[in-house]
Amino acid sequence: MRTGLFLLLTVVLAAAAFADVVGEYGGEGANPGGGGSYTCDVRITKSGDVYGVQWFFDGALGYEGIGIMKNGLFCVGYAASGGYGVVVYEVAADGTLEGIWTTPGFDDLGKETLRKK
Amino acid sequence: MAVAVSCCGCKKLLGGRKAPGESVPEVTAGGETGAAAVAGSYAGAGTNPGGGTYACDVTVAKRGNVYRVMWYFDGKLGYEGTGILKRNTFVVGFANPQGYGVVAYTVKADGSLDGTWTGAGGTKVGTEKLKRK
Repeated sequence: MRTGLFLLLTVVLAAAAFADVVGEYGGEGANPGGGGSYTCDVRITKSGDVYGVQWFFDGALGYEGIGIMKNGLFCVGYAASGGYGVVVYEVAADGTLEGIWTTPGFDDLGKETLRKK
Repeated sequence: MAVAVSCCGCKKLLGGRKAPGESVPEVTAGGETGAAAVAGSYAGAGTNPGGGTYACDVTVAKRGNVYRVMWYFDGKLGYEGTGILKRNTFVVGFANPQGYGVVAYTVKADGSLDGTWTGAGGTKVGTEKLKRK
């Protein structure tokens, strides 16, 4: 029984460690090149070895992305009908994601901070 | 990225883009050191998330604080991407009209790039190693 509980805890903790970025976030960001600021809501899910990311603006789905963890960074490629881009988030100890991003057409970086709801 | 590259539609996305051979100024961004050296030409070998292997040629060019990346398969442009260098990790979002994805490379001391990638719709990761030409 004790062994079973230990194994269960191990599995739960391991799952938590790997799925740490999964959740619902409130986000705020700044566009590259001083192009203004924005707010968004972001949902991160896990599917197999990768993550699905959805950005909502005023409740409407604006972008979808796919992400992987690499060297402790959460790395996401995203797209919408109008184009695509990349965002790299640092995962802070409190679960906040501090990101930098860009999209073709810009030579500069935007910022995005996601806080767990 | 994937070996199943259908390049017929690429021109829709790529139309109007400049040729990859254009001259690119080597600008070192604030905070970066030798890492700007990810710019260059590479020969790549990879594995698809669902299995199978592929070979590619890759060019990385710096534009301001970001990077433009192009993947060629048998000499044809298959994907283009935009990348960010964060410490020793080079992360690129890529796309063509058939889809998009992300690849994250560890920048090795010898200048090679050791990558992990996935494409939209997938649940697994592939690998890609790029060696400088």
